[in-house]
Amino acid sequence: MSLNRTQAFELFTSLLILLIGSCLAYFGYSSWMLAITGAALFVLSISRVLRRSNRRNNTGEAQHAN
Amino acid sequence: MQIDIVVVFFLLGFIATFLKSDIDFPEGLYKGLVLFLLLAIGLKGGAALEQYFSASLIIQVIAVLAFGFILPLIAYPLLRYFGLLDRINAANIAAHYGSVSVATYAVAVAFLESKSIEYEAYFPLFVAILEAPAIAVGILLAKRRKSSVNVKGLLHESLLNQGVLLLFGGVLIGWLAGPQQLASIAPLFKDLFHGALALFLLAMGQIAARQSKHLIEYGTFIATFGILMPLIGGLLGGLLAWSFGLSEGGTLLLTTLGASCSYIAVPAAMSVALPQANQGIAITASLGVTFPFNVLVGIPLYYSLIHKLLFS
Repeated sequence: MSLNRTQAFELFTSLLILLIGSCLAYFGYSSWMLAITGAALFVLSISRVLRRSNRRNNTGEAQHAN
Repeated sequence: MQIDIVVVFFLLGFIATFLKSDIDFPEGLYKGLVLFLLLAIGLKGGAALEQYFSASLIIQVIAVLAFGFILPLIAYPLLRYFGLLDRINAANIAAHYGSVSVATYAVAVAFLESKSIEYEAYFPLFVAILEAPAIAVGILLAKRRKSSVNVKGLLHESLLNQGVLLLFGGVLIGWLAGPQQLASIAPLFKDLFHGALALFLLAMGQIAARQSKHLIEYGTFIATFGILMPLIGGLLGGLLAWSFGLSEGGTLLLTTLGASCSYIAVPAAMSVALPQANQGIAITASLGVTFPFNVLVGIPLYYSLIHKLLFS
């Protein structure tokens, strides 16, 4: 599974937001909503990457079968 | 965590539209509320300007102006390199994120007033100053060749758009009139401010919900950028406020201004200057992602950080 520049940016940024939100929440700041936002972005990004990867694999298999 | 009452109106509008309710918010009332909020904020700032007018304020104004030029220059490479957007659309979105949102500022003011936290009352001047530079930078980024830049049009769109004109006009009127004369119009522009803001946020909630539906169309990059950019802008705004030695409330306001992005003045100006740009992407990012993020997550978070790191 290879990532393009945009997908890498999305995954890295969402993980970073999740990490910052979680760390700040741990130290007592009101940042749990930031952590949730990061988690939601990460789920969105990873699902998009996986969906695209599956589609590519399916196309490859179909071409191979032909 | 207690949510500010005006934010609850935003949630009401957002949820109602999401559930396909038929709240019919008149377009004229929305436009009227924008005018009211711009003037009310400007007048309040103008009345306080005389009290704060000093050499240090002029230095702050210059620094804030420079801040307005820098923000789109940070957003632009992110949009070009990671978002793979073309020059025109990247410049258009960068202009939105370099400018500020009066509504986000008003929510931050309401947040401070609900907690009885003092802030520098001349802040509307900064709001007005921060509206314009990003438009000019955005247009210059989109039209690299100097010959294609219409300087007259550029200045007109940057300095005479509704947001800048009404804010500066309000500040000027407030400054010239002074607190005593302003007392006669205070029942409208001061006492009704929170109620009008609540009504405005109800409409904003509806618009934000409608825009967030377009996120699927434009992809997750816009959502990620719409969350990352306010964090970068907010951090820089907070550092700038800290370097000025502003109060706790003032630091929150400059952080919020750095984190916010325009969706009234800039789209209007950019649609004239860059008609080929897709305004839908910029509006979806600013109204569908960044505005709700700042109102629901950002402002309480920025306050928590500022309060505990700088003022406790």
